[in-house]
Amino acid sequence: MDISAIDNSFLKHGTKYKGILGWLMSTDHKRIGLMYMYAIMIFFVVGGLLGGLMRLELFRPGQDYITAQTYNAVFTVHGVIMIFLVVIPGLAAVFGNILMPIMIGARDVAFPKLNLFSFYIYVLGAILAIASQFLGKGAPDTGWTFYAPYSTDTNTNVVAAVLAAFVLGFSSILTGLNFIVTIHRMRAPGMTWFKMPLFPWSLYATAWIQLLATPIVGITLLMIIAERWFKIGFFDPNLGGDPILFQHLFWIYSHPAVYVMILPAMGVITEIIPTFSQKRIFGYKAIVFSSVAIAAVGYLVWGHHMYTAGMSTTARWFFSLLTFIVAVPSAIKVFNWISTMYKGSINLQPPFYFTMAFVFNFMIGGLTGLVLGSLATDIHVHDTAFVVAHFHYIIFGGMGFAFLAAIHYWFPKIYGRMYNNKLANISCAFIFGGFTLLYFPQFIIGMQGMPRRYFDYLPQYEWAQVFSFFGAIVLAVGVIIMLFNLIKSARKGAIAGPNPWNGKTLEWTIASPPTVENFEEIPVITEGPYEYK
Amino acid sequence: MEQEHQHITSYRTYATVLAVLLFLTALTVYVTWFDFEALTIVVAMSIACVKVIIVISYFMHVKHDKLVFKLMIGMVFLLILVIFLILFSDYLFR
Ligand SMILES: [Cu+2]
Repeated sequence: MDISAIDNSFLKHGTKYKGILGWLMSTDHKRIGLMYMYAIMIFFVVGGLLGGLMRLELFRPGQDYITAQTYNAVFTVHGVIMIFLVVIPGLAAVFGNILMPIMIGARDVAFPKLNLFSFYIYVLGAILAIASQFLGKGAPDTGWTFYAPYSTDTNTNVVAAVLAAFVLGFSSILTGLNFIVTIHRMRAPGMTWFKMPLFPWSLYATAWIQLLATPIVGITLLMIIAERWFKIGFFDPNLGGDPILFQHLFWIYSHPAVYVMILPAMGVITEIIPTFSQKRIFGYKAIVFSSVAIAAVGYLVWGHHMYTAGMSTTARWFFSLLTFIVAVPSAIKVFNWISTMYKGSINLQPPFYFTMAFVFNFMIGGLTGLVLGSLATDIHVHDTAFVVAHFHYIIFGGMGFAFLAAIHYWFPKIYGRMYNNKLANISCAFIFGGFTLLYFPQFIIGMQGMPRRYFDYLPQYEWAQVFSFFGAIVLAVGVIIMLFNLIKSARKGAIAGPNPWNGKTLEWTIASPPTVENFEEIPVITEGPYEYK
Repeated sequence: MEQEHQHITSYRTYATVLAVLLFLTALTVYVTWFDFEALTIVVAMSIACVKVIIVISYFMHVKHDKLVFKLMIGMVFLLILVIFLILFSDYLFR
């Protein structure tokens, strides 16, 4: 077997330094992406364990293992870690970094040092987030949304957590900036905008959201600190502020942030489906324009998180209308994916199974989103487990499964080795089964009235909490099988070769793993990215 | 490399821009003596917008830059405007 590709690759050769410094000081986009990936995996496990702790407490009604106050802290930390440390950087910082420059035929991103700097800002933010749990007067208990005026009054350690989110925002802004410049300036000769693969396109739309929306939440978080320290009345009615203003400012960012998570996920799925159907993507331009439309309209729908908060009726129906409009481009993508598979020669491999799980979950998540987006039904289900289930169907069932699909798709490219197919399929079945068992019952008890963020409940909801608990265990088993398979195969798997899936985009034309420079010679692009046959 | 890099703005222009900015700052303070009621924010933001446009055009040289950059920055202004409009669909009708 030929392992010379691995010996010549970026995995063995740093840009300047050797050994561990060769990673920590590397400006190679692939190494930075991998460092993000390892960090994100660790935080995912930590956040997942906290989620498991909540499920354990909810297994039976009444107080069992943790107090109400601890429960509040646990869901806050679970949210902060999962949102700000895992899913927001998730696909863009990991697979965007590793693959976007290769897919557009570049040797690196436009600003490699800025890229490394973004990673260290991320690390700093992560340290602050972890520290906020231990410093001061107890872990923050506001939920990841930091709603005022509670967040400006509570004695828990909100400032550190808010500061962590603020710092992490900068990492996101700089990554977005880097990607915009890279995609504008560094595409291979001949690669016009409409010959660019669709994953970079989705990252481009995402990057604009990161660049333009993140500063708003940054300022908002600073306003909380200003109110806590200097008693400036932005949000607290006692000081002449308006608590709903906080919700506006927070969701002006945090709704688009959902698209920072889900747009690259859609991009990944759009890469995988043509490869495993061996067919040109259906409606290339429709997918491009739907990405851009989602990014644009997605800015303007934030108020759907605030229907019951006391907004004017005018604003409420306006936001509801816009929310229904933004569902259209998402649905366009689903139709395009299905049409791409139609009459294709489907190759049933692990990445494809994860992709199918994504499409399935995403449709449930998306359609239940419309239930929440319409004014009347939202009054009934707001702040219930229904919202929790919807949210996890989009973020875990959507973005999470896309992340797993991406790992299984690009694993042979990144490590040059193949994982065990059978084990990967088994882990996919466990993860999907566990996920469904965990979150689907929450839809039902949510509609029956189970509130979110409560550590206790009426006996009639017990059956669903029991289902969810066992779902969480099945899910955890699936994740363990998957991690075992991937970690083992990264070291000992069979050599994969440059193009194991017969993909057509540029990353499959170079060695697996890529060399430090990616391309010996920058290719000249003459045709679209998905020209099969 | 390209032509726009050779453009040099005269001291005279900079001085004029500075004077205009100082005048607008004074104006911002001056208008606080009047009560525009619901339009208070509109007035304050309009003056601020003019100042920002001047700074971006002259001090940041965007006036001499390519059209694509002007469009990008214009898009940001448009976005802010739309966000304000939607925000006030709440505050003005509550
Ligand atoms: Cu939203």
